Amino acid sequence: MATPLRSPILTTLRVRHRKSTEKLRSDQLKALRKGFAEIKKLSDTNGFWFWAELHGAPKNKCEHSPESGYDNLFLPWHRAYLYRLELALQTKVPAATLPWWDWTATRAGSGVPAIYEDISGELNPLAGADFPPSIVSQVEAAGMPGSTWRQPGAPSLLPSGAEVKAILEIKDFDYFSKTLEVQLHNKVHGWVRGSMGIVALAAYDPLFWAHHTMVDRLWYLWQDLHSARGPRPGIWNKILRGGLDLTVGDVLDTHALGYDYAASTANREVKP
Amino acid sequence: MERYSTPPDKPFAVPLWEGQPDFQRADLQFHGVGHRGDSYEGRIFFDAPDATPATPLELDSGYAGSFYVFGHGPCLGDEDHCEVPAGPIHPFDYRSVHHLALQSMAVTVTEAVRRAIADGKSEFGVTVVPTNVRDEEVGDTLHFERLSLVTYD
Repeated sequence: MATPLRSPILTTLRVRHRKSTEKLRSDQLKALRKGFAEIKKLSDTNGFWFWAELHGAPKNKCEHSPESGYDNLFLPWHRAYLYRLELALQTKVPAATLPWWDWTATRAGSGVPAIYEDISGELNPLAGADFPPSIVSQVEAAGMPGSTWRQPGAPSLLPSGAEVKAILEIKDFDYFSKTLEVQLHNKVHGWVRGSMGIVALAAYDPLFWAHHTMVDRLWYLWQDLHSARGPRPGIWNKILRGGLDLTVGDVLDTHALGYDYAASTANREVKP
Repeated sequence: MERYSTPPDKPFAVPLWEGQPDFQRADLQFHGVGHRGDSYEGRIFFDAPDATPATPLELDSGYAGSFYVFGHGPCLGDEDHCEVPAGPIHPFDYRSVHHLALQSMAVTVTEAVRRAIADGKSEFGVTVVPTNVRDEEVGDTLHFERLSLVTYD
């Protein structure tokens, strides 16, 4: 029998849990590292560079604070973007999920999550990445390194639990989204500095994906807290740009995308 | 611009209705915000035109709040890559908004406005000091085209 071009939607789709960077079990961290290592080797549409170059240089398709009067697609666009990279990871390593960087936890410790730092004597695929041939000469011509770099500030300057709580309590979605973006998301990009502080280069740093998973988690928590989706129905049919192949409506419910957020998880296989 | 202060002859009037504050929230809205160059924090002070990155982030020092700009960095494209086009060049020009299209941002400054009213002020000036994460003032990154004070009841 011929293989169908697209698999039918699984009615028994398993919901996967995205977990905190601080609470990954060793097997979960191993899967994450292996996933990033594998997709960095690829030059096709599952490749790390393929997705990283969509956000900033050279494709510049990310959505951020628009001028008043334009639809704010910051949260839907980045949810779809994370989802597509996570699918690429899971194509190579099915157990891999994107973890979330709890800024409020690491502000009392390392700042940058320890699993994203260099490991003595080993190559950690989460510690950074080279820039692709499509931009590296321009990056170097601008006086910057040929791979990602960070210059983080003092950990205590990361957002506090009180700041996050205050923003989650905002009822109006547009005000919530814009405040989350400008006051927390932008702040953390500027806190990491280096390539993470540059829109054109940020997504090449694997830390970007943990940062944005935290942002996405806060939208998820806001949805739960306020029993609301967020974006107005008038834009649910809007296609998220850059070849993400999803509409705003497609990304309103994380369960429909097959994931949920958890602090940590543990499983026991039960055999009949 | 390196920093911004409202012109001395054009401060904001404190928002009062029949002599009383009648708002739940007050926002400063920045329109036409540019985001070329480095990321930075825009620290907002009321009636503190000489504020620096060392000025304490407290109401007593005039601090009202901050906004954070995620800067695009240097141009990494061909010539004119970072020139923002004026608009569609054809009715079917459905290309995405340019990556350097101007943005808007809002900062809630309710406490600082209430403080100005409590201090008996009838008006106040606004100063924005662009600062990086190392508390250094950053030069020539701040850009916006209009500043509004908006209250909500």
